[in-house]
Amino acid sequence: MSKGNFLGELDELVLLTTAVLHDAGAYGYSVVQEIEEKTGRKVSLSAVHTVLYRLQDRGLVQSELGGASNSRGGRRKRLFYVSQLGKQSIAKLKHQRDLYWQEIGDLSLG
Amino acid sequence: MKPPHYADKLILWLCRDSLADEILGDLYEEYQNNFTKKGKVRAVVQYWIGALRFINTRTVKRNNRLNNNAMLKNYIIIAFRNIARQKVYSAINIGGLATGIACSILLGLYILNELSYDQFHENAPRIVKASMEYDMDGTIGEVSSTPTALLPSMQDKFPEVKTGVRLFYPSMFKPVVVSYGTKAFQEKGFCYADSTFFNIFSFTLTKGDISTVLDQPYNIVLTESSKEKYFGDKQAMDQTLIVEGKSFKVTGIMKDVPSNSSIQFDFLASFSSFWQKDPIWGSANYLTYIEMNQLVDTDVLSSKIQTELQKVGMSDPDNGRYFGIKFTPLLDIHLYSDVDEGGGDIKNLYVFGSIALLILLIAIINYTNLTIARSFYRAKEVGLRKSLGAYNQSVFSQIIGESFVTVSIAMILSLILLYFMLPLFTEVSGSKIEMSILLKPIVFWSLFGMYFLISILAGIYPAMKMAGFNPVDILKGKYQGTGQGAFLRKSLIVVQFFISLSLIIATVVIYKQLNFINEKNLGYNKENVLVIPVSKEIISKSAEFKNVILANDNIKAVSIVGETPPNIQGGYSIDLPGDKSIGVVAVAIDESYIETSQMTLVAGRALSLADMKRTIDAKEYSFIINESASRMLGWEPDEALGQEIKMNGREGQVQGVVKNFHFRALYEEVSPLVLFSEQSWAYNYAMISINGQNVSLAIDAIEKGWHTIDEATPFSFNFLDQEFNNLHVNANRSSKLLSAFSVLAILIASLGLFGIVSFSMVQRAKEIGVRKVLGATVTNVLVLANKEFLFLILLAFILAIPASYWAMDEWLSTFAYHVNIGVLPMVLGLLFTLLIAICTISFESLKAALVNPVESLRNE
Repeated sequence: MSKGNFLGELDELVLLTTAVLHDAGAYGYSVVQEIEEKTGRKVSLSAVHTVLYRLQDRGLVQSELGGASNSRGGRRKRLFYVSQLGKQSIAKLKHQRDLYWQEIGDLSLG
Repeated sequence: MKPPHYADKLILWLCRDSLADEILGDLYEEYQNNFTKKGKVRAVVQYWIGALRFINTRTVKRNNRLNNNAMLKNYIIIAFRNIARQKVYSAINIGGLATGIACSILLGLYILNELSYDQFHENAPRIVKASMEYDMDGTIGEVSSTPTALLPSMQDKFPEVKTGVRLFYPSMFKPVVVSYGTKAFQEKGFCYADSTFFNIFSFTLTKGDISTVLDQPYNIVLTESSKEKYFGDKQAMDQTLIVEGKSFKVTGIMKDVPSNSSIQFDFLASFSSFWQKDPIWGSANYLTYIEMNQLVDTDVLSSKIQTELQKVGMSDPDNGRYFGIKFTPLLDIHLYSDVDEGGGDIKNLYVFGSIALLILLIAIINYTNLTIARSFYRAKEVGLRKSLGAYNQSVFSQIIGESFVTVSIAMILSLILLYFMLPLFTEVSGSKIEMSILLKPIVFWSLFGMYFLISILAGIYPAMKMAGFNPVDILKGKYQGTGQGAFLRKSLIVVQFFISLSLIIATVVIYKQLNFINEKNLGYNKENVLVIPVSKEIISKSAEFKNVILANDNIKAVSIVGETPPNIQGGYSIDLPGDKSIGVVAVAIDESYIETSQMTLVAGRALSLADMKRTIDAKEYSFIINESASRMLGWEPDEALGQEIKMNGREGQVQGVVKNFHFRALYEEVSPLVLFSEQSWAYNYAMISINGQNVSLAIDAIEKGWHTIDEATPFSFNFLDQEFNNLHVNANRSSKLLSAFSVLAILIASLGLFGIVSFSMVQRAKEIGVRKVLGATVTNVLVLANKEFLFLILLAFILAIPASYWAMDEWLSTFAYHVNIGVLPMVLGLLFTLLIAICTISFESLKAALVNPVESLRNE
């Protein structure tokens, strides 16, 4: 990955969460909840929105307007999906991390 | 379960419509979740926080007219280039604005400081101060001192009274001697106060307990500076200070009294230290402050206490014996009370406030005038911008923007100016203001508002005018600028010079009056007379003291008196036949009084040593009355001699009639006055007339003589003429402030004139060239230029005469003795202004007149 293509830590988290929520539908609030559930971390809605749009600008996710629901006060939501490029980038990320893990080996022995 | 409506509105207003749905939807979901988990309050708070966080550069609506924003950078660059290119005019503009702004900030701060008096007391709105009204032969007199019985009886009878405090300043008679070890000083700021003092007023005690510091006799609280003065770095608590021979225990230390407090003191001793008797109505030397349970109508309170006073027989208006108590809210004391000396005056604030605005107006007019004049040079730029697609509106905002840029620079400059002006101002005005006051929210935001207002006021007319330019005419070369806005420009110059002229005339009138005060024959000699507060020791051995110091050649005469001539306050009454009495002012004097103060007797003789002796030995009194008392009592001066007088129990004969002399400030008429012999307790000061050539030798001699008789008491002195000047300190201050500001006003106005004249000369370069070719001399050209502008100044002068005459007549009428305005101030004001204007105009037009016509006509 060349310089300038790095994903920030929150960006990575949001990208992964979007992938996880592929079937349930990833949108602002569901991403916030998912991140909180998985990591205990409280992220603000506006931060997540910013990141989602940034990822979209970089082509890692795509979005479309979803339907409105009563629980949202009649407002529509924007659903995000990981794009082909996004999938590649997730795979790449995993691959990079794995390289490290292979060398670290089993932590408890170290 | 609905989220806050206004947060939604905010988002809808600020964020892009395409994003609004998803943002609000997400926020709504979060809200629902928070509502069930954390309750309504936290959900609402989080909703707001969440909503506000969504307002950022990514989400906010974009301005559709993108070009406007893109041009912004260009506007700013052009603004700075213009400032840099036309250095002289920019300097005039910015310098004038900066001076004007600095002046108005300064005066604004002064006003703010005056308004802040006593505001720091937490209970301030509920505190009232009592004053006493009494009937003095038909006219109602009012003094701020009240009897000791007032507070206890009010606490007793009126449930709305929460608590109160009585204060007594022994220094109203003479300074108090305070000593610790070898250090001894005469203190003027010594005050006795009830133990409730610190509960009522929010003065800060740094050591000691609020409720107990003053609850025992002979307790004393020091301010930090007086602690420093007597104890230095040493521990002061529980130490003993000697006050007039009595021991006081230091039970508390407090922060220095803020300068914006109407109650001032350096020492605070318990009231019980000198008053342990039952409270009485008969003696009234005490200030009473009362804290009410709620806000009260002071008039209602006054009439309630009047009923009480009539019940106890103190007041009997039906039989001509009226006695009443008035109440003034603490917050009104400084600015509205006439009774308290040394206070401010709300009228002054209006005057200074208007001066601030007027000077600012002059500076704004400069900007407007010069910018319109210069618009001719900018015409091509505007024409080009418009032909390339600029809207009227964008030209408008460009020109307004330039005014913002200029005012920003002026504003920064004015703050620097202010930094240097503040110390001077503090000295002149007597109110302490520091630079840090600018950080107070109210000041900071006012400055901000001022910045906007000035920028818009200064820029709006030129902006409207330039926005209206017709590009076709400009680019064809039709637009010549001359005559454009000339009328407005000229009227603005008239306004500027009207303001400056009025200020100058006012200043001259004030100086005339002050000069009159200084030169006025007061009926006694105030030059080279020392005033010395004397100790009991000295008074009891006054003959010896006089002999000791009179032995020195530099001492001319010595007199021991109760109060000194510039300000005699003591109120007494003379019994008239038929159970009536009449109020007079009276003071105890001795045998050398008339000689020392060089007064003139119109009949009879001065008091003699024998008179004094008879008073001390046999309580037989001798009187000298002034002409006005003699007239009041219905006697020709010669008839008065030998008449029997009975004044507050003192009986005796009139020995002399003294020519009226001014025993109070010149604000007041000379009223009936009685000078009388008395026993030693009535005397407080020595007046010593000395040789003006050897002042310091004389003072040394007096101090030496003093210490041969009284070793313990410190020696301090003052000059009689200083005491006199202190009475007119307000007039002195006004004159200094006003003269400074009128100089600034004329300076700014002539800067503007300078700018306008030079533009006019540049525009008329060709005309001047033609005139010179046809034989006009340099003088002809100068006359031509001056004629155009001097006419405006004469017009301003005609307007300024009635305005300043009216205002100054009003001011002069506050003095019982005053000068006539006369023609001199008007003439001086006009000459001064004309001189400055002619210099300004000639300087610029000379340049134009000296140019070789070849230069100006070459291009034709």
